[in-house]
Amino acid sequence: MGMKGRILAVVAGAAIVASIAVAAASGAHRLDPGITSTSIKIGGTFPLTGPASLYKTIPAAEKAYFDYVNDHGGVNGRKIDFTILDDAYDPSKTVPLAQQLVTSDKVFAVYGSLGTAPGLATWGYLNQQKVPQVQLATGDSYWGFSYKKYPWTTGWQPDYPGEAKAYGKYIVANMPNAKIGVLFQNDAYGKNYYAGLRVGLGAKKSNIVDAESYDVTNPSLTQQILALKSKGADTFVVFATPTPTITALVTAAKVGWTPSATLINNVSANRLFLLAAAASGANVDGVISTSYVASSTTQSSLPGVKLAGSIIAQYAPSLQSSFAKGDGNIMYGFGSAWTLVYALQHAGKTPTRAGLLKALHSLNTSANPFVYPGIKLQTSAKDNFPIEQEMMIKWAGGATGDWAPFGNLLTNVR
Amino acid sequence: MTTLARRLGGVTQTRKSAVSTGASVPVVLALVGVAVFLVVGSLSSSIFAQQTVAGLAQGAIFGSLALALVLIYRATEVINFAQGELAMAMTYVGYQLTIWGLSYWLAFALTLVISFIVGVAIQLVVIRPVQHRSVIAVVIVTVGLFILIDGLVTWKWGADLKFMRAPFGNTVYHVGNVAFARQDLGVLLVSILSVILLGILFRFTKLGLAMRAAALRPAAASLVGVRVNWMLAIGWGLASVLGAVAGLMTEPSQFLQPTMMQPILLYAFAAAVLGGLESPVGAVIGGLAVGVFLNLTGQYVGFATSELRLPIAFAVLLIVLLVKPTGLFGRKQVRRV
Repeated sequence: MGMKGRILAVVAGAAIVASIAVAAASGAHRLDPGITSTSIKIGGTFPLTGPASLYKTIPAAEKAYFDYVNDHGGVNGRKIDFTILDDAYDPSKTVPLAQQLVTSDKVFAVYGSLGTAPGLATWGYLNQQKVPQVQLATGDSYWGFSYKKYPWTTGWQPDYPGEAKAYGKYIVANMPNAKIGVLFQNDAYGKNYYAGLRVGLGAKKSNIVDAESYDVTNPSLTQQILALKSKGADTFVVFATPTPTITALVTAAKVGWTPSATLINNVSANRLFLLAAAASGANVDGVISTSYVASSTTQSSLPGVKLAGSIIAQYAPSLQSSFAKGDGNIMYGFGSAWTLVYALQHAGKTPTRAGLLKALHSLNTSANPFVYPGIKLQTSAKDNFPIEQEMMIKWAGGATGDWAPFGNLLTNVR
Repeated sequence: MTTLARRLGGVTQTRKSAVSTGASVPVVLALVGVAVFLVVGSLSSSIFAQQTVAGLAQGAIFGSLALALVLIYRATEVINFAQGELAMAMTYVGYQLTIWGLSYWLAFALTLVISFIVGVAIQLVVIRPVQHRSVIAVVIVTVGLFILIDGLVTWKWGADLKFMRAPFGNTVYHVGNVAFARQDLGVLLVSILSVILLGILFRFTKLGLAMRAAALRPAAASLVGVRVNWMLAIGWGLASVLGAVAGLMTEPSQFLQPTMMQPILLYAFAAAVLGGLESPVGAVIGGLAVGVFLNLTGQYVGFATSELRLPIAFAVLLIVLLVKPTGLFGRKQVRRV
């Protein structure tokens, strides 16, 4: 080997070493999309307009909480950059928006997106892209049961059939001779609830004297309510979205039906709705439901509620009046956002997408200050339902009243 | 003749002439029979009575909106697809007036005035320019109006649920086992009253006569000095007023949201067709019939679950139309082109 050859060899060797070093260096610093040394980019789709826009206080509360966290050091020094997109609760709009979040916004994770149908419309795409679709804001049980097929998707709140099961058990234990009349929305949402109720009632499901369904296109619920009344039902169970629930309660009063017990599902048990129903003549005293978030009205001395109040005052003053009236969706937003921050903190010093999912699949904490006191967020490799506890609540005080908890925390709600 | 009709704002070049009156003897007999059936049923069963009363209250709302459709159909020969959305928007106007501190009934009255002006304005600004092109052009404009109004309302008021003060209070009267909500009775009364007032306007006033003439024989009407275009615009205004009544009477049970009138409009279409698209009386009776029919089948026909209620209603409608293609009160028309 001549001099020239030796130089070439050295150069070649140096080049190889250098390229290996570069490769190693870039390997060490290769970050998942959406993560920089100073920020974490996340985004979600929400109904800011359209028929479900009453939920728009949820992303507003989440944004306020992230702003608060960012001003207090962020997540290991990284600030959360939260993009809120409006899909108007229309799955056909959710799909392109999810693609936008992944391909042009390049988010680290799709977080908190609201609605069952929008969630189902996008989980195939997001799982195929291996983009986390975490803490979907819907209580359908798909997210909890399908984690093997859709490992990048998680829910957050207790699931609907589990909630309905709890009502069934409550009726069996406390009103074994109840004549149950059910009103349910004629779609997957209402039918899943109704199925859960029958499971919870067990042998007592023969106590259901009538089950009436309604379509969202029904202009009135009078016919259904009169039918329940005429079949002799004395216990009224409503599995509906908020507007029909209010209509059902008002209509029952209008046709002179006074069931001895009325149960409504958690989704419709926002204090604002009950106040509206009462103002329109519904008999709301004694109505039973469940809750898993702290109440901003009756539990104002809780540290979580105080913290939420001060965060809203500083970062989202427009939420103040709803918060003061007891809009449960705001506490929901805080509770969910807290969980994401907690999971990011446990997703490694430099969070990765896989690390986030791992953290969400191994939750074990009672520290969330915004959920109902005593509720533990718990998941495992086999259990993908973060919240499985709920508190039963009962309304008292009529048109100026509020929910009050009773009994012990329900467990194994799923 | 053609150019004259066009210049005078005639809607069509066809001549309509009534061949048979709408309310034939068999139809009247059938209706009397149904009425007797409802009364007997109500006297013998309290649930029957209650379903019937609730159905009449709901049906009166269908009838008001159906009547609005009929008014426009008579004047412009199109179905106004924006009728429901217009009614919804006017209900929001009423809501806004109460927010500004007006009492309910003052806001109600003012809303009707505003509705009239808006209805006239819509006819003058967006319908008139396309009126002579083709029926399809007008239909497309009304579909555009539907989308526009929906967007404007959502932009101004948002889509979340809003509530007005209950206009009739929340009292419930008990007669034997039957509970009558004051609200249902009030809705029934207001809807029927507005229809009667409109009937008086058409039958006993000079304006009503001119409007009927303008709708039926535009060319001839203009020759005797009727300002046909203005009559058509006033027709739109009155339809808009009726829609506002329907919207305001829907609010106590459906509350305020941009989608509130869409299901109502569907049933109003059915009511209008059942009654015969050109007959105001038919629209009202059609509305009442649809309301009561839906409630009673839901109660007594086991397989009429919520999925099937609408198909059953439309199947019956289809059968009625097969027997009497012009609807219960429709007139057969001979057109010479």
